[in-house]
Amino acid sequence: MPREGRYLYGLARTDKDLDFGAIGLEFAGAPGRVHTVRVDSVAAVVSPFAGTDKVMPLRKNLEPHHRVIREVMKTVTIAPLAFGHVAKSEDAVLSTLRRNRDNIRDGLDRVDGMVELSLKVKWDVDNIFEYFVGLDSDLAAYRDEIFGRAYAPGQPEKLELGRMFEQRLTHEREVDTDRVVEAFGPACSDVKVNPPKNEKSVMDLAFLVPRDGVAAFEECLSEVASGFPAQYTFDFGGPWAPFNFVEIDLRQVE
Amino acid sequence: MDGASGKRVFVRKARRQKSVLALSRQRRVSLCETLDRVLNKGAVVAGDVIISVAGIDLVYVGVNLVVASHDTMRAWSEAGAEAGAGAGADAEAGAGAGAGA
Repeated sequence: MPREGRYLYGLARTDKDLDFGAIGLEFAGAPGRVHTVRVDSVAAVVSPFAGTDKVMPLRKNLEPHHRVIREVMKTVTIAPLAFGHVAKSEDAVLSTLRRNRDNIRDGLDRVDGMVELSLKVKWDVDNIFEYFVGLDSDLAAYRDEIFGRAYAPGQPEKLELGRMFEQRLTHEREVDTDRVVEAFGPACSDVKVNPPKNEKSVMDLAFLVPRDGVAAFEECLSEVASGFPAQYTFDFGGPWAPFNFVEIDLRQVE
Repeated sequence: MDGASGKRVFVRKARRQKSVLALSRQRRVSLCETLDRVLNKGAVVAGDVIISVAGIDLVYVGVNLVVASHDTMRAWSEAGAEAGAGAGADAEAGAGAGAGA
């Protein structure tokens, strides 16, 4: 018989024990019952899991992990743990909570009653280089100069053109990001700027917003978006659990 | 995976009437964004008591590859098959990423 461990979804602040039903990762052939393990007002959201098993990042595991977080956040604020945390036993969970009670409480206070909203802004253009050449006369002039001659441009010239493009791209991103972050300032309590994932990405932001402030944030979004040129698309997502704002420093076992 | 709900806001300025804004919204589910959060964000507990699954970073790369670029992976495995035993390491890397998803 496998030793019964606990799979961990996240940490939450609650004064009473909560039960979320059988919506967890599969254990012994059925979805595990998700409940809290609590020390005072600090709890871990867990479900039974074989204490020695490795968790594979498969769809059948990732989906319940995310579903539980979404379900729990309807009731309490949950600080999500990264996928794949397994404790050997419920006692192990309790002792970790006890040892880190103050740290966890501080981390949870910061996100209490908050949700995360995401905003990805992209340049919706076919050719990002052409787009910037159209905006920047220096870039256009240099491109025409080195490509307009009878002989092909050399490597150093191409590199210089690339550097100018990169510089302009970075500058544009910084200016746009500052503008958006400032515009949303009053509507959020914190913002995280994640690095852009590709060259058409202008910015990738996560906002920490009070639960009852989501509607106001959305209104603000329409206003901000309409102030940008037509080439900008605004991808708005959420509400998520505060994945980007969990800063809980848990002490390792001594 | 049923990700968090999302909305895409398109702002299009009518070409001739610059003051007219056509604003349309559409609910959207982003698998990529969900995976990015579930695997890449969130608190991490370290130590003997709570085991963070080993090799999660490695597997994350695999999931990313499959989500972002299925064609690239297929190209890799085809290239690996053509190159035969000489490209064994590359083919293994491709297979590893596939198994991760």
